[in-house]
Amino acid sequence: MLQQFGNALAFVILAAILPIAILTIAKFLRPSYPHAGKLMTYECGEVPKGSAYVMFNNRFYLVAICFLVFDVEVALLFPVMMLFRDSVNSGEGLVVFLLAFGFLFVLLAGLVYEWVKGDIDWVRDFMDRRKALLSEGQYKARLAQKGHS
Amino acid sequence: MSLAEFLSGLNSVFGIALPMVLFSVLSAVIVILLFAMPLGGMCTYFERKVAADFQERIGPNRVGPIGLFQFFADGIKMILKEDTITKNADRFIFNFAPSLVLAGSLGAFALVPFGKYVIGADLDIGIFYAMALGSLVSLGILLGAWSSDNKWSLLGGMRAAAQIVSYEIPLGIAVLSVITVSGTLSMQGIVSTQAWPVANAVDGGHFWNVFHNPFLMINFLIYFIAALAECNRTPFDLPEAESELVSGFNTEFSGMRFGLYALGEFADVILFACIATAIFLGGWHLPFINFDTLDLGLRVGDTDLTPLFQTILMASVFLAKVAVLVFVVMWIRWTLPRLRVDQLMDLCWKYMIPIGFVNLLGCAVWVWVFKGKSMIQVAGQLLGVY
Repeated sequence: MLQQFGNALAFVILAAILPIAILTIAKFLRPSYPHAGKLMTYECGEVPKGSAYVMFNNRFYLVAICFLVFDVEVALLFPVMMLFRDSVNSGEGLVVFLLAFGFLFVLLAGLVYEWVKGDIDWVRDFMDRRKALLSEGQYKARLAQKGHS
Repeated sequence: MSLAEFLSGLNSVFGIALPMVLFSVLSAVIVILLFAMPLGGMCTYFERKVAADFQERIGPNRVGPIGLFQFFADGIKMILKEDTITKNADRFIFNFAPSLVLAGSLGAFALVPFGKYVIGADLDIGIFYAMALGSLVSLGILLGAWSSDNKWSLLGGMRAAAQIVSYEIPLGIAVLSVITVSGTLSMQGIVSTQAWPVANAVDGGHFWNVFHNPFLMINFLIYFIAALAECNRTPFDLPEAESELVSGFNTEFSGMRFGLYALGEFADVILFACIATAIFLGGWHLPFINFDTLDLGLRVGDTDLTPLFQTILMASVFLAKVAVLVFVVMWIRWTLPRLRVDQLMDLCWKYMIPIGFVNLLGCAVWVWVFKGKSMIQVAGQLLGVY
């Protein structure tokens, strides 16, 4: 097995060296005539306004959090499911089955909760957001005020 | 047996004693430099040719016979192009991010089983390791986008991160359902269970995993769709949507750095096609034939040439399947329009993940009820073939 890890290491090292080697070769071959216009950030030909390091839509953050939970879950299920076939053949299938799918069920319940709460909808309706902040009566009163019926 | 160990057989043939380290490096050089890189390059040519065919054009036909050497010309052009780094860019990360994309997908080629004796490293945690290295790609894209200090890049990079990260879950679930039926994480182990079933086989011989049971068939589709999204291919090419974001995450990259991103994308497509072939489409196995037990009786003196011919046959079958998958990916590009961001997220979280989990449950129940036998084995038992 140590031999196999050595092989994998050889691949990783070669894969890491290769792009660097290509870029180094290119460095000696390519021309370099920088001037202010060339080094300007591209913004469709206009002079760029401000930096790109801006506050960003926090939807992306929510997706990352959801991903973290589910990815850890999938990663933890790998060794369990690997044993499943052997344990079925040795008559211990029920234990592994309940273990894996009990764990899965808890997380699926989490997904359902997120879904009902609307956290996995990418675009939430503006009025829906208002609805979440206001009570039902207040919301209807506001709508009536604005002329919606 | 890994490629390094197979190559070390040369020691006994020529009566020399070279250290194993040399063969490890040699196997990496063969797989990466002689296979992955040229094939990634050929893919750019092939893609343009396929695109031309779909649009009734001729496509590249000037460099070499029917334009076959186009990718050499493209490579030379990329290397000779000036590489501008914008004034506001974070130089260190900007320099290093494109390498990460290529390194991630090339490193994972160690786990692709081209034949019984041709696999870079036959690790016990095989498929898990390949997925881990493959996820370096999203890191490279996000770092490159963030360091450019460009609004188009940032939008594209954020979309790429959200997309790749989301679709890794259905991908993981689809792989998990394969693990459930094959009971091993090793790539060679998974492939060897997919041989054509023979009478009285104690273990293995399920035939291709995609035909193992109906649930796994659906999970193959889920794997394929998720892999398309992982590689940023149409209909999931939002990160570089050229009609909205100029060029997305690689807007500020020029010269060879842009080339590394392009090459990395194709290396990724080939990698995912290879893994799909190995875990779903039976690797080198064909129906009715088993290359493992095929003896051609070819000998030169005392040396048995059978392993060599087995390897050639297996590798050609494997590469043929990969080529078909890569062609389907290109075909899809010219068939389907791009998704919207909210549709993309809905497809992942509201359809693919729940369906994937239901199929995983289905696979587990199938393994339990039929004691791990596949559809073909069960049918064979009912018909009294075995």
